[in-house]
Amino acid sequence: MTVSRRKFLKGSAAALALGMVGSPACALAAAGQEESVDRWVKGVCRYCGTGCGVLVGVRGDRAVAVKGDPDNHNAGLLCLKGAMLIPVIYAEDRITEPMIRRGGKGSPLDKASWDEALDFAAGAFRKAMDAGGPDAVAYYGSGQALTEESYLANKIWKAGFRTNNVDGNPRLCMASAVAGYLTTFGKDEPMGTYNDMDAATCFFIIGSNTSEAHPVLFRRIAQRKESSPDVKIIVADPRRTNTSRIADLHLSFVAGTDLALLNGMAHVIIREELDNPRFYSRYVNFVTNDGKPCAFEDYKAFLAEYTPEKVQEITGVPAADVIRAAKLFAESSSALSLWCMGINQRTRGVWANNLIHNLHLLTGQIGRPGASPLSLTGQPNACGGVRDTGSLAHLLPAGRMVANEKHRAEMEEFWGVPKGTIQPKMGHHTVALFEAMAKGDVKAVFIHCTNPAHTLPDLNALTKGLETAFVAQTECFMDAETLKYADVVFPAAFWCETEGVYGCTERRYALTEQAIKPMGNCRPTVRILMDFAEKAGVDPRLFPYKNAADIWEEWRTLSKGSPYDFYGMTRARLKKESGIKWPCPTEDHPGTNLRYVRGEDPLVPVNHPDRLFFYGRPDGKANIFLRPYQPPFEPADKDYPFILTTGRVIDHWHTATMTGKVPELQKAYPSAFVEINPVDAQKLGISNGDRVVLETRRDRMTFPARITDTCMPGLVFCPFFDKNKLVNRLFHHAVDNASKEPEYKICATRVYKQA
Amino acid sequence: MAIAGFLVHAEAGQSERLEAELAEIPGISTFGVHRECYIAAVAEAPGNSMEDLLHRVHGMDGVLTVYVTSMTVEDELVV
Repeated sequence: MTVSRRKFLKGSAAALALGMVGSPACALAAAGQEESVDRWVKGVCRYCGTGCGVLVGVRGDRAVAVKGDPDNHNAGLLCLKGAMLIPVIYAEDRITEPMIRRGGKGSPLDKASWDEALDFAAGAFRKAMDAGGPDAVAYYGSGQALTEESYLANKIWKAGFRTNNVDGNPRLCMASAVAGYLTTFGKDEPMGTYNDMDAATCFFIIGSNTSEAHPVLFRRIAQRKESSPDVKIIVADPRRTNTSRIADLHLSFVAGTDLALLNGMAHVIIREELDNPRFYSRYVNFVTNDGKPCAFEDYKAFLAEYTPEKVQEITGVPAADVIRAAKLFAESSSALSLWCMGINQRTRGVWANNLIHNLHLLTGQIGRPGASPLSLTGQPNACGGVRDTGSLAHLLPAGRMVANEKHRAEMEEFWGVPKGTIQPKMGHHTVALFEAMAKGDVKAVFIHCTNPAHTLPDLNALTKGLETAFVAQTECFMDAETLKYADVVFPAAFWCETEGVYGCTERRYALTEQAIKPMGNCRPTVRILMDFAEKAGVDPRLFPYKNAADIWEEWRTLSKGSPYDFYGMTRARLKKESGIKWPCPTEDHPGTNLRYVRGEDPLVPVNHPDRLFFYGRPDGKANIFLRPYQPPFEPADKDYPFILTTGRVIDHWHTATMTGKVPELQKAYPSAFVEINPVDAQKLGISNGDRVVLETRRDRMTFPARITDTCMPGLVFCPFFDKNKLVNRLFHHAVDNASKEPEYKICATRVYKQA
Repeated sequence: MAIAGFLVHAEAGQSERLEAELAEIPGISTFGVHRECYIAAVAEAPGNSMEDLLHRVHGMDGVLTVYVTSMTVEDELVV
């Protein structure tokens, strides 16, 4: 096993190196498809939020190869997952026919006709609304759904069914980043792009295992480091991952203490006079934790207690390293911060986001090439599909809010529905939605393109609602855990079997064109949504679309003049180009790299007196918040003395319903495990491969041990991809007060060898 | 042990010679010359000496630069 894995890793390394020079032979070989193709069809990788451009090779009526798009940001490079997408399309367990559970929960799923399945679901939704009103139904979507699908579902539910119970799995991954951007800058989405990786002289990577979760971006960072030895990389992560191995400085802090670390860095920056008063006096407001304006001196006083020595006490990071990190960040010519779920999936995730932004605003490391905060996204279309279209319980499209009367009126007018159609009350966020299902308040849910019975936290508690509510689900693969609860299953066209837009981390929208026909009896989801809604009683005039392109046209028009303006991205242009970054207000606009910057961002007037204009804020200034350190919801204690954290491995993506279909990937990581530090293992008498019990206040599970110094003492890690070991059963479901994102990254656990 | 995938950017006319020299270095496997100037290669070495190995490659005559494209470090400890 060791030998084959090493061979596999060497093969992967060779594939990545070859992919860098855009060798088609490599991509074909990597996919195991050394065949010629009739044509290459442009698209976007189905996996993570990096949004790599791909070309799908088609021979006859079959997709036979995938290679990187040399014209997209990834310059022809793909990770192994992306290069091996073909076997996923033709997986043996693809769902190709509608299915219904005629005998109710617990009975088998039987094949059905499309009419029968749609009628079955529509009838259940009508019945639910008859009993409980509009808020008795819900939509639970996905950051993997196409933009057109999310926009359409949002419109159907909010303006058709008249409920704001529209949420989705981005709540579980990016909601804290959204709220962080909104509170600091007034508008969601980052101001920087991947181009900043080529210009940064200091990378501050916190709460992100970029090397495994975003390998193509990691390659870009490593390349930058390799080509410019003066570039410095700081990685702040309780785990010593491969990402930290290219770092000049690894800050291994006790999980959940990073707010103290970030405030400590700010303390040092001010103490050492590395702050930039000229910048923040012009572009920044200082705001107390409860939202009141204050002055720089208040901020300085607030930070006084976060001395490096105090931060060392809290975080375990040596004081000298806190000082060094602050200096590297502030003294570099351009600092780029990158973060992901380690920051977002926290009960103080929004605060953590604010504190990262603080460092940039305090030092003026913002609005220049290479100087920016840039949150990394976990899914391919959480940004473009869900955040931008407002497909969450509190949002409306293009940055509008449900709670804002003017915003509701604007959407009602645009959608052509009577005033008052959109409800003023926010819908249920994800955790509340599944709790409402368990209580019977939400009686029917439409789940699209996601697998909540695997991914929700505290699964034993939050899947109870799925046992009683009516569940309609679009799904491609039979091994999705949520299918166990589905009452009706719609077979959705998968990836390049249909067409639509993905919007990735860097505000880049790119089109995946249809390369092949949907398998079997599968249909595009936009067709499924419209047919279902009409049968459920929604006025079909609300969705007068022939196809996804029509929906894009409406959404593009709606964006015109908004802070999300991408009116210049016509369908024809998206077909021609390999992604465009908004704002992009006109068809001749090239897209925007530096948002909020005069001369770069078309939404900043060319004659604006200031170089930077944060137009999401009333006075055009961003906020530095005085956010104190607070511990996580459930820190380790004497009864549960270890911290359990979770995350991805390089060869699997999310719940492995796709990567699990690829033998090479599955072989690399056949099942979940628990990483334990050698010091802890010795104390507990645990050896490599031993069965180890993790026991939390929710549940108890057993995993094989991997003894490794990746985890610091006191910390254990389990990946979450394995459907046979649903590690989320162990986690609590406490959420961030503002973003409502759960704290997947930290819970207290006992660890012991199985008797 | 660490495994790194990398590209060697060779000066004009030096690719074939360099590929042969690289292949002689213990722990390095080569995967051909591409676009006339890029040699694809994989290096396998203890994590604490990988940097030295790549530095050595970087210093070879005819090498313009080295692009590391991937790095994997096997850190399982056998106990």
